[in-house]
Order: sequence, then C-alpha cells, then structure tokens
Amino acid sequence: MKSRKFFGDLSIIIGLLLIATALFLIARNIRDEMNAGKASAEDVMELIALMPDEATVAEYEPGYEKDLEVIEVIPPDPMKVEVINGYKYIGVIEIPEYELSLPVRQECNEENLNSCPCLYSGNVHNDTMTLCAHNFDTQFGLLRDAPAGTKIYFSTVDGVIYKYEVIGQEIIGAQDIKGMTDPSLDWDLTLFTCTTGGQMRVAVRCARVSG
Amino acid sequence: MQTLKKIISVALILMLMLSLSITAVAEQPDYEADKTGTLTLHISSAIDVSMGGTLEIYKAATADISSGRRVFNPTSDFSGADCTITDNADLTVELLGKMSSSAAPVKTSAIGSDGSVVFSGLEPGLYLVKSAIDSYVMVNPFAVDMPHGTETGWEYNIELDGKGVALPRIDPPIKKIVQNGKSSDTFSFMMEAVNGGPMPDPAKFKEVNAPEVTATATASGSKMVVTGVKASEAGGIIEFGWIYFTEADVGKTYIYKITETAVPYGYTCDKTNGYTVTVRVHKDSAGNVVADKTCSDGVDASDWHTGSTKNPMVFTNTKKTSPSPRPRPPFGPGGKLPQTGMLWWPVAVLGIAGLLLIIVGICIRTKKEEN
Repeated sequence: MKSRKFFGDLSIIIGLLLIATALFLIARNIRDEMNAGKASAEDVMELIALMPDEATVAEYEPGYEKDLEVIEVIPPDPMKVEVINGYKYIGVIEIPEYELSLPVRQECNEENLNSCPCLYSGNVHNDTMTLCAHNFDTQFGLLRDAPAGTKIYFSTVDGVIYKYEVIGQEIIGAQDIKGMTDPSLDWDLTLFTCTTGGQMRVAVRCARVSG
Repeated sequence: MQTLKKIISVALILMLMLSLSITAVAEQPDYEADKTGTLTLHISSAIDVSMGGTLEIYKAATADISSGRRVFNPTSDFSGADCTITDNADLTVELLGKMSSSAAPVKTSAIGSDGSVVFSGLEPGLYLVKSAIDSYVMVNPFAVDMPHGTETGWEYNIELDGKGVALPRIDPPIKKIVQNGKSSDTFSFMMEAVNGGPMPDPAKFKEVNAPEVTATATASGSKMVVTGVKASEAGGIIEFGWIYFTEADVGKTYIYKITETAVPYGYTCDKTNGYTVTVRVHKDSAGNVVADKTCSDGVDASDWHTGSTKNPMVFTNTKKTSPSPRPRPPFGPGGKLPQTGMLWWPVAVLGIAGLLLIIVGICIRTKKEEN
C-alpha cells in the first residue's frame, strides 16, 4: 500500500516539475524576444546615424534577368560593413507593414542571431542575399504570414536602398541548405526563420522592384 | 627676317591671285555715296565647309568723292595705311601690316552649308576680309572696295570665288569587343580633356557600325561620356566626333584620356588605364596650322584626321573566370540551417506530460484511499 502512495506522489511531483520546466521555457522565450527587440532597436539607431544622410536607390530595370552562370563563378563586390560595439553590420532591413526596422549583422552565429537578423549567404549586389532571423514578432516572425506585395527595403551601410516585394513563402527542411540559398531567377532576396515549432524553416522569397 | 617676310608676302600674293577671281555679275550703275552693297564669297567645296568657319570684314578706309574721283581715307583701325596701292595683293599686305591689334570687325558671318559667306549692308569704302581666329576653315585675307570699280561702272553686288584651308582636326575612334560571352549589357566610355583641350560636340557623336553599336553621348565641361553601347563579340566601333584646333591653339599641347568607366558585371577590361592621346598644335614651315597626334599603347593615330576608323583604340571585355567555385554558405550545426526560432514544442510536450503525470498520481492516491 505504501508503495502505491509513493508512486502516486512521485508522479505528481514529476508532473509539477515538468510543468515548471515548461513555464521556465515560456519565460525564457519571452525574455529572449524582449532582449532581441531592445538590442535591435538600440543598434539600428546607431547604425542609421552612421549611414549617409542622403540615400540613393539602387538602379533596377524592370524585366532584368540575372545571369546565374555569372553569379555562380564571379564573386561580387563585397558589401561594406560598419562596426558598432564590436559587431559588424551590413545594413538595415525595413518592413513598413509591420513597423520593423532591424540592423543586419554580417556574421551568422547563435550569439548574433539572438539580437539581430544576420547575413546567411549571398550578396545584395548580385541579388543572391539570404538573411535569417529568429521568429520573434520583433524580428522575422510576422513575415511567415506576409502577403505577396509586402514592401521590404534593405539599405546598405553606404546608403544605397534596394527595394523588394514579397512574392511568396516556402516551407523548407532544416537540412535543405541548397534549397534555401541557391540563386534563382524568380527571387532576389530570401528571408528565413523557423516555423512556429522550430523544426522547419519558412523562406520568404522577395523580388526586386523599381521606383 | 626681312627675307622671310618677303617670301611670305610673295606667297600670300600668289595664293590670293590664284584663289580669288573677281567676277562682275551685276549691271554697273552710277556711283551712289549713300548706297550700301553686298559681298558674297563662295568658298571652294573641296573642303568640308560643315566644319564651321567664320569670316570677319574690317573697314579699312572710308571713301571720299568730293574731289570728283574716289579717295580712300584710312580708318583709325588702319591708321597710316597707304590705300593708293592699286595691286590688290600689295594692298592686302599693307592693310594687314597697319591693322590695329584692337581693330574690331564691322561684320562677322559664318560659312553657310553651301560654302558661301555673305556680308550685306556694306557702306562705300575699302574693306579687309579675313578669317576669325577661331574659324576652322581659313581663307587668305584680301582687300575689296565697295562699290567695286570696273571698266564699265560701279558694282554694288560683288561675288568672289575663293579657296579655303581646313584647320586640323581629329576624330578618335574606339572599338569595343566582348569576348567569351553574349552581347554585353551597358558600357560606358569617357573622354576627358586633361588640360582643357577642345572637346567634340556630343550632338555629332557617331555609331560607325550600328546596329552592332548603339550609344548616346553627353558632355559636361572637359568630359564626354558615351553610354549604352552594345557590342557583338566581333566588336563595334564608335567615334567621339571631331575635335577641332584653331589658330588660338597654336603652341599648345593637349592631353586626352579615354577610359572604359563601366565594365559590365562579370567581365574584365584589358585596358584598365585606358588610352592617352596627345595632340601638339603648331605651325609648319609654310605657316599652316597642324596638329601632331600620338596615342599610347602603340596605336597609330596618324589617320585620325581623315575620319578613318582603321586604327581604333580597342577595349576588350573578357568574361571573368574564377579558379574555384563560389564558396558555399556556412553550414549550421550538424549540417542544418541555423536555429532561428523559439523552442515552443518542448513547452507543449513538457506541459502535457506534466499534466498527465499529475493526473496519474492523483488517480493512484485516490484508489489507495478508496481501498
């Protein structure tokens, strides 16, 4: 009889511990999201202050087609960087629809991702750039449902603005690096983040627009 | 020096006699002191009169007929000139010698597309006609009286035939070649007058072998830019247009830099430093204005004054090749894309498991109490 009581109590205690752990994870996720929003907001202000006062819009001819063969073998001009608090930034990504203005770090690693979007691969100069960020609402989380036509602007640190529109989303496996990053004639920019569960990736494909 | 002056004078006279022939074409009315006349000069079509030329006419003397015959009195610009000389060539030399450095022409007229120059409204008097210093077509100076006295009377509409001499000019050609690839996108060349030399007129820019080459030219100050060129692999030729040199440029050396300023993406240009063209303007032993031109990199520029394109400055664009494939993007841990999301799935698992365990535990305790 005593053993039945013991197992009953043990089960309740373990259950409580599991729920406590779940609550802890919730609290940590909320804290991370708040910290990321705060860090991005601070750094983007400093970065904008360092950028030229007068921005220029990158030239883009509607109907222009990329030469994928050239892209495959020719390294483009490197993107310029600005260093703030020891972190290298390549520009600012803005999504007016969601009132987002985020600095983009050059190096993609766990520490940087906890604060800002990062350059994952490619280069804005040859329309192959892929950026990644956490799925916080303060970063790329809302983009998972961004409708086609959502305007996105990327400003390089030397003051050149590239204009894009969302053309669609793709769900991509966590190991499908090629599917995420290979250049395409159909899109000129990819933003990706995790699905809600964190097991898959949502790739938001964007195309350059003029004007 | 005196001998040289004499030689030049004689040469001038001979050239004038050969080049000018006075033709009486109008009836000869009586002399009218208040009547104005017209001088028309027809310049030989042997030269390209479209180059642009300007002639000036100076009033060397006024006419006085109070004595019953016409007497010329030099104007202040030709003070002291002997206007009684009957030989036209000698008179021209005399007027040129006495002409004040501050003398101003009474009329200026451009050479028309048919090669004619017209000076109208000329009062009676003695005139000197010469080319403006910035004229690209030069004619020998000559004296003319208005009205012109002939054996049969006074001529108020004077027509003369003359020969012109074209001043030096060059038209640097450029050949654009694109190798190992499709026709290029947009190219851009720039010609810069490094030390303020004269520049071509962008409106007269030429595409030599369109449609292989299509381009437009714009100019600003000492720079002229040609953009929008598309060239086949065999190459296309463009010409910046004529650069003219005048008397005013004599003694100067001009340097022009020609560069390809925008190489299409994925291509390299073999002439990253471009070409340098040097033009030295001077007078030859016969007193003619000439322009000696040379081009860097062994390009033969000797025919550029003829408009020939057989020795162009060649810019070759070659598709870049990379020794190694494009570097792949960084892999995430375990060959995965980086984790970019909050881990919500453990929350659900832990929560559900915890709730189940609590329920199970409560059930066990409840059964025990019932027993």
